[in-house]
This record gives sequence, C-alpha cells and structure tokens, in this order.
Amino acid sequence: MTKMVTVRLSLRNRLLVILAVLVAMFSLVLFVSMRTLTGQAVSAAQDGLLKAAAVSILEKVRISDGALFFDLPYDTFTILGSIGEDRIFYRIDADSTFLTGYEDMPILSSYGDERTPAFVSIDYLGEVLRVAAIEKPVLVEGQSIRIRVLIGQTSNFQAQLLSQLTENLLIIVLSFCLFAALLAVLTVNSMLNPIRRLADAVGRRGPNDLREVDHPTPQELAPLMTSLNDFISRLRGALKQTEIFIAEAAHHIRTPLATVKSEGELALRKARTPENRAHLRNIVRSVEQANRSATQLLDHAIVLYRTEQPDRRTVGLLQCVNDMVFSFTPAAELRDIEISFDSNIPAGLELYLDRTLLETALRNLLDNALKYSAAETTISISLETVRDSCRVSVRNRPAAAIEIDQDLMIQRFRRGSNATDVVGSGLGLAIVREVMMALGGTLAIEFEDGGSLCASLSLSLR
Amino acid sequence: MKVLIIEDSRELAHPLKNFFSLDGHTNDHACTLGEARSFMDVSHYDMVLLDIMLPDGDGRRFLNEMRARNDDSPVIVMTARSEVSNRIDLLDIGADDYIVKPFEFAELEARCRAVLRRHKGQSQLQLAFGQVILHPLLATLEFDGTTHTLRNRELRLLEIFFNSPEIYFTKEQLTDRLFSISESVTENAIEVYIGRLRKKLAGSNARIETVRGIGYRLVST
Repeated sequence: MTKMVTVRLSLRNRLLVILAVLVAMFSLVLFVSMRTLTGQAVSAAQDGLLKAAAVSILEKVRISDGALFFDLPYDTFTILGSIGEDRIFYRIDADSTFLTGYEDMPILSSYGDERTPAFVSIDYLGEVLRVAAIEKPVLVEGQSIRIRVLIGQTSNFQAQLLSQLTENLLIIVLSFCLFAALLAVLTVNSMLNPIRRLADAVGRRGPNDLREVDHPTPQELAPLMTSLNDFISRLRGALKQTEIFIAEAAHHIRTPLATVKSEGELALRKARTPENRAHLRNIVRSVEQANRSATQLLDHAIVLYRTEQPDRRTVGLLQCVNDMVFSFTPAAELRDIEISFDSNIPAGLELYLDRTLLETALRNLLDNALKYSAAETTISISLETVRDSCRVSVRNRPAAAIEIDQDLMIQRFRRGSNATDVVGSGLGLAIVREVMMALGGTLAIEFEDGGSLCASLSLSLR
Repeated sequence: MKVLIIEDSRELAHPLKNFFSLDGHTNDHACTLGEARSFMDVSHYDMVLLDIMLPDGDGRRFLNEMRARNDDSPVIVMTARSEVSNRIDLLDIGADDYIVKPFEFAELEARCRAVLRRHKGQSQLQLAFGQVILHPLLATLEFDGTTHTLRNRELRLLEIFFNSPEIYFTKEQLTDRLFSISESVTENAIEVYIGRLRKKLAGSNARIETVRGIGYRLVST
C-alpha cells in the first residue's frame, strides 16, 4: 500500500496556529491598553480629588491685618479619607517658610496653579504618595508671597481598585480570547469544509469511476480541481492504452501463431514421409508451447494490471462458472472428457469482485485439469457455500501419477511431476494463486480418496 | 457445408481454406467486411468464421448488422482475446460460438459441429458408406435399423474413413488427426479406437481393414 507523505502541520492546524497567535497578540495588546487606560482613569480620579482638596485649602487662606490665616478644610479631608484606608499628608508653606502640616514632606521643585496643579508620585515614610502641588501668590502688606500647598495621599485604595479591575479585565480578555479561538476553529472548519466535501465526493467514487470531478467548489479550489481532472484524464488515457496494448499484443502474437499452427497442421495432414511428419509435429508442438506461454504471460500481465486497477462489479457466481463450463466443453469433448457441474449455491448468489480475475483463475484451473486428465474421464466442478465463504472445486483424474508439492507447483515456471509430455509454461497455478491473493481468497490442491486431484478456490462471501 | 472465412490475414486464411477443402467443404474467403457483404449478398453460407479486427471495421459490428437483418447463419468468431467475459459478450451480440487463436483444426471442427448441431434442420447432415450411415452432428452410426452412439474420437476417426473410403491411413496420420499435438499419446492409442469401431461396425457391410506396414482403410465386405 502506498504510504501517504504529509507535512507535519496540517492545513487546519496551520490556520489554527496562525489565528491563535493573532488572537493571543490582539488579546495581549487589548489587555495592556485597557490596563493602562484603567490605571490612568483611577489615577485621574485620585488626582481630581487631590486637586479639589488642594484648591480648597488654598481658598481657605485669608489675609487679615497683614497676617495670614488658615482654616483647614476638614470636610475635604473627610471626603479624601472616606475612600478606603488611605492616609493623607499635607504641607503649607509661604515661600520657603513652613507654615503647617508635615514638615518633613519633601518640597517640590515646581508647583502648578489652581487650574493645573502639578501631580507627582513620591516616596514618603516608606509609602508611595500621590501628591498635588499648587501655589498662589498673595499680597501681604504690599509684599507678594507665594502660598504653596502640598497635599498627598497614599494610593492603597487605587492599587486595590486597579488590582480588582485588572482581574476583571483579565477575565474579559480571556473570555474574548476563548470566544475568538472558538470562532477561529469554526471559521477554519467552515473554510476547510469544501475541501472535505470534495475529498468525500472523490472518495465515494468506485475504483473505476474515472469521470471528471464536477463537484461544486469555491473559486480558490479551481486550480486543484483542474489539476485533479487533468490527472484523471491522463490516468484514463493510460489505462485505455494499457487495455488496447494488451488486446493488440494478443492479436499480434496470436494471429501469426495461428497461421504457423494451421499451416503446420495442414502440412502434417499432407506429409507422407515419417521424417517430415516428425519435423512438422515438432513445429506444431513448439507453436503450441509458444501459444501457451504467450497466453499465460498475457494472463499474468492482465492479473498484475487488474490487481492494481480492479474492475469490481457484482458477479453471479453460478453464471460465471456456467459460462466457463460452456467455454471448455468442446475442447473437453475432443478428448472424450466430460465436464460435470454441480452447485448447491443459490442461483442469485453474487460476489463483488473483478470478474476477469475470477475467470482467469477458473480458466487456468480448468485448463490444467483438462491438460492432465486421463482421456474418457470426468472433470467434476462443484460450487458450494461453506460457512461464510463459497468454494469452487475442480476434481479430475490425472493421466499420470503425480506428487503434490503445493508450494513448488504454485511457483512461476515450475511444473508438476506429471507434466513432462504435456505442453505448458508452468505459470497456470502461479496465476491462480496471484488472482486468489488479489481477490482475498485461497487456493488448495489435494489428493482425494480414489486418486482424484482436487483444486479448490475459496472466496469470502463478506 | 459451405463456409465463409472472414479474415484479413491471408496467411491464416490460406490453411483454413485448405482445411475445409480437404474435408470436402466448399468455402470462400473475404479479407474485409466489404468483401464479406458482397459474398453474403449472393450466397448462403452454412457457417461463417469471423475475425474481429478487420481493416475496414469491427467484426462485432458486422455480426450486429447480420442479426439486425434477421440473418441467422451460424457464426463462429475467431478472437485473439482469451478472457471469457469478452467471449461471452460476443455470444450476447449473436455469435454462436467463439474460438481463440491459435486453434487446432480439431477444435474448430468440433465447434463447427456443435454449432451446426444446435441449428435446426442441420441435423440432416449425414455421410453414407454402403448400408452404414454416419450422422456427424448426432454422433451416431446407423445400419440395419440399429443405432450406435459414438464417442467424440470414435466419431472423428470414422469421419476420416467415411470422407476417404478405400484410402489407407497410417497409424501416425490417424494419431495426428485424432490427438492434440500438445498431449501425451502412446504409440498404440489408435488401436484402441480402431478396435472399438470394429465392434460397432460388426454386422454391417463396412469394416476397417488393417494392412501390416501400411495402415488402415474402410472397405465394404
């Protein structure tokens, strides 16, 4: 059986891998983008609150009698503090003079104004603080002083919120990923379905169905269809050529042989001297030998060809054996040999096989039986079913004593011990054996009580 | 019997014509289907030997045409193909029998006889010698109101004598005619058949005479 060569990655898997990589990459980009945006949104929300708090502190700065007064906006701090467990730190300076708050909070190099505060993340007391920094110039007794407000908040809540959002985001992206993968599988299957349907349509065809494939296929498969149909067309041509060759070969070999044989026989009838008769007998015998060899070599070629290209059809076994008996009867009558045929199989029993192969096996078996039978005997053909197989048996009484070495007899160009004086090529039983191998059957040769030789072909009924 | 041989090979047709002539059958030879049609237009044949591959067409088509115009002349197709199904196809299109090239004259003769036997009215063919009548198609011998059945080789041997009465045939000549060249035959096999025929002819006015060193011949008593 021919071994099919396939690339390691199937078309389906190749498409799936490409789509999976694309989905994974897209999911990764999606996740990173959404995670960044979410982080930015969370950070912006905190920044907004810090800005409001800073502005609120700044708005509580009053100047009275040349002095600065602060009313700390506790409500603002309360709002800031209400979100999670984050701590709040602040520091208020007038120019470089510390006024109130946490004095060890680092002073920033640049501050924003009320509309656009400066935001920065700093390390403070072992924690990361998100800090809003604004400054505002005020006039105190004719002098311009910059009031600087620094308000910071730890970001634990935001980090927790971001973690939760990331988790949800991950679930969403993974769900998307799975959904996309499922869609990819469905899409790939859907894309490959036309190829599968085409393969099914071609696979369902009989072994000898060499019509062009006209299965509807997408445009993309048109080149494949064209190549396939071209191949079928070439194969059909090659098979036809082989058949024609065999027929022509048979004609070209047998017609001149027929001429030589006929002329030889005619000359033999007219020959008067014993010497001439002996010469002519030799010629006719050699022609007969050549004919048998040619016939069996052609048979052998047909068997080899049909084994590769079997023309399987339903064959009525009874009819097939009957035809064979009809075909051999005149030749048997010439030797006063009777051919009896007995069957216990149902008339309608049919086998699904190559009829030419079966006929070739039967013909060679009968030809052998006829050649080696004693004159005025009977060749008995029986057809019977044995369990789940049917058996065709050909029994004859050999003219000469014969030793059975089945292994030797079925070898090509080997002949039985009784074949010395009989024209033959030694291919007959080898052909029968090869046919039976091709048909999944068996050949058995054995002696039976009473000296009959029985050759049986068994074929499975399944 | 009148035979038409349709065969493009003159080399093969020549011995066939000779064979039929030697046995006393008139015959014509056509190399092409056209010639065959011309022969059949003017004459009736008891047997047509038809080759398949001919220069101007397929013999099977010719056979189809014959059967289409209700011409039931017996036809034996000479084919180079040995597959039985191929030959069965020939029977399906109206051939009476087929013979695979190369063939022995004896087999051709046997098939002609079998075909003629199957055709109605042809059983009247008979050969006579003295009071003995031989029915080749029925394989029987008849004299004094008694009928003897003959085996194939007995019939063929008797046919040789009936076709050439009073003529001597050597043992070798008879052996060559009676047995296939491809089979193993003992020297005295012919004597067995001569002995059987003598028994069957006993009581008639025909007998088979042996002349030592010369052979056998059919003579009347």
